[in-house]
Amino acid sequence: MMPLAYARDGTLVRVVSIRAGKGLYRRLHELGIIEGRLLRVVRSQGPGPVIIEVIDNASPNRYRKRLCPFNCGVIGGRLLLGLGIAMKIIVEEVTNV
Amino acid sequence: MNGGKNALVALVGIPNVGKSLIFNRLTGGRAWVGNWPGVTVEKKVGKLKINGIEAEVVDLPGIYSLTPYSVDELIARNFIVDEKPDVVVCIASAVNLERSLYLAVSLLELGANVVLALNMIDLAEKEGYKVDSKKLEELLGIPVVETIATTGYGIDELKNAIKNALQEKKKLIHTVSYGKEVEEAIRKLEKLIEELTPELSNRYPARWIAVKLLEGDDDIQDKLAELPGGKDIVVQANSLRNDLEKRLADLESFITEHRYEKALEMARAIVKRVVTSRISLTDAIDSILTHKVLGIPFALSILYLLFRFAFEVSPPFQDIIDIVINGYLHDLVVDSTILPKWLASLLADGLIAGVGTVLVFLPVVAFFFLGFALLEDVGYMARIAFLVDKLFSKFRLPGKTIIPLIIGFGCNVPGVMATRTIEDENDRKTAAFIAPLASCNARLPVYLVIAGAVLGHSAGFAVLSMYVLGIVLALIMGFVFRRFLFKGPSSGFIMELPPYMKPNPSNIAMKTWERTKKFLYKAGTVILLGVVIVWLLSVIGPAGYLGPNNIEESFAGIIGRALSSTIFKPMGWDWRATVALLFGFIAKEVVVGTFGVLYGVGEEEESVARAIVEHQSFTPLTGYAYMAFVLIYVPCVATLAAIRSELGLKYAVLTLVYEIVLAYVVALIIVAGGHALGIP
Repeated sequence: MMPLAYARDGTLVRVVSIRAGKGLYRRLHELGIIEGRLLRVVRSQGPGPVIIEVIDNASPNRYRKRLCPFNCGVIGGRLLLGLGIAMKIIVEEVTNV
Repeated sequence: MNGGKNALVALVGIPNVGKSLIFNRLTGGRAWVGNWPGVTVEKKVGKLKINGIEAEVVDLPGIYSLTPYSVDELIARNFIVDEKPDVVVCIASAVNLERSLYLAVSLLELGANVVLALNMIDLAEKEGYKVDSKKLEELLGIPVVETIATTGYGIDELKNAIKNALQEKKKLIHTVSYGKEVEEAIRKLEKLIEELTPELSNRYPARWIAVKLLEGDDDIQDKLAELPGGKDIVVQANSLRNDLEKRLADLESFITEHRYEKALEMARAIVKRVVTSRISLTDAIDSILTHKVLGIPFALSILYLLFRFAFEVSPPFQDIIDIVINGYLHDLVVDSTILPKWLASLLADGLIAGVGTVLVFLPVVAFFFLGFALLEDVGYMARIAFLVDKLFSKFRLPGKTIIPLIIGFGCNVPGVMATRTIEDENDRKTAAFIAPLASCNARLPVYLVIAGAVLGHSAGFAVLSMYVLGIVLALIMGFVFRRFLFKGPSSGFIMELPPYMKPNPSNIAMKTWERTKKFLYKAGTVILLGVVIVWLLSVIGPAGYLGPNNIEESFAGIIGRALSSTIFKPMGWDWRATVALLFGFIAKEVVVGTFGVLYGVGEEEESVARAIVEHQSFTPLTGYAYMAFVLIYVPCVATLAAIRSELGLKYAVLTLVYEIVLAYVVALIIVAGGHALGIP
């Protein structure tokens, strides 16, 4: 487990917990960043800000097979999370979906 | 419709869905800007005409939900909740469906009369999938119109849908259910709300109030607490919530997740993949532009290009303005025989010369903003925020702060205003505070003249170093302010990162104009007033009216001499340089012009530079220190006015003070350091 800020480029991670105040916690939920959900780390400056995609847990395999590089099995557009926020999201790397 | 008044239509949507373009399409681009009551966020209003029906259209700031997180979002929510627009057009992005639908669902819960515009369907198709809008219409129970704002496709249908929605009676649509236990609690509260606070349940659906109470929304609790009987409801809601939380964990996230799940479910149901797509272009470009190592050099090259573009394209336009205002108009007034001498001087040497000097920069500023809008429109600016975030966070600033700074390179006034999009209150204030340190176009001629006159071969390097110095100081001061003045942890920043898009000409034109307008406005108001004051100081002295060519004996000259022989003595600047600084308060452009007047050589940059060499006003060292001082000492009056309207008078005064002190310290360090190194 590690803060999202430390995740490497191109990896798939699962959100374990979010250590944020009420407002931010809610905002992240509204963006689809919810405990248990999968994120693809598009870009990271490890440790630093990250660009992520939220993956639909119901169809991670479609994503895995690279059938859907964009927005298929992906929840919404890409998000840029600043270093501050990336440090508050605790994730674990996922190797097998 | 709300009794006899014009119908009111609100546009809402998450960030980056093409909302402003749709607004332009609906209103024909004619809009006026007002301020929201109590805050400085601009409110854009336009008129929509559909077959004889006229409606007022309000463009709301981008929001993700009806629970506010930033100032922008609070405004949007209050508008929808309190003003109760007759129709709410929710603009959804076909390439960001889930988050768009989350907002749509939230709007329906509030009982808004929603029409959904499904925008960017062309992009979705390009990505290789199809969105079934008919099915979405069934699922949501509201009209859904496919649009492509960039081409205008679907706009007529959207207008028709709005018209129908204006005429129809809206019905309450029950979209999300939160499971048996929560629903039971909602029903209990609903009943209570209808019984105890009918005045509230007449205005908002009781179900919405009940859900918000269970979510723990402070705003609604406060509203209820003001009403007789409202307190009982809050007490009841809190006890229900505690009860439910024992069984279901945190109720707020439970409700958000349910709503999100609903949005996701709909998105899954309406999206069909038609083509297996290839690796997206965005990915390919981003692999270079957001690269850990290559990203920053690329960003610097792109910014350099932006500057070059602005400076290479504008000279012919500048010449025209110069000839018309500073030549033709100036001479016309000077040569006129009808005007009394003092009035001709006020007009020619004060107003026309002052405003003219500023207007000559209009082309540079406009082309700079044109280039900037292009970068913004293709989606590059968000990438720059990503690239610098790590560095900026060492100074306790979010990466987003770079955007007002870059805009500030064009003109500090729109730079200060661009800080509004920063969510965190402390981050926003800090950004507005340091934004004037970005070296704007107005400072450049001062650098060019002085560096050209006294720095010889290192002139180019010296000019470039001013831009770097500005950014370095902005970072340092940002750190200081964030640490000592606007304390508290940052809530960080989140930005939507759109795929790279083909730039849209009308969008770019609109953005360029909006920012350039602020520059023009500044020339027309604050600077106009400033030049009158300066003119007065320069033509009046202890001996009375002196005419335009005796500045040395005027009040301005006296103040200049007094300053240069006292506090500016260590810097070794002569009285002319000091007077020019005084006039530079109005706008930095005026500094060069003042030198011209003081040497009696006119405003041509080359002749001013030559005069500086002849009079030996500066050594290379004091000249460089002077450039640094001009960079820092005070943003122009117009920027101070912008800071005042963003943060309040107190902070505008504070900006003025800190910048003068900082400028003095930096100039002193340069001179003293230079002497210590043996530079004369």
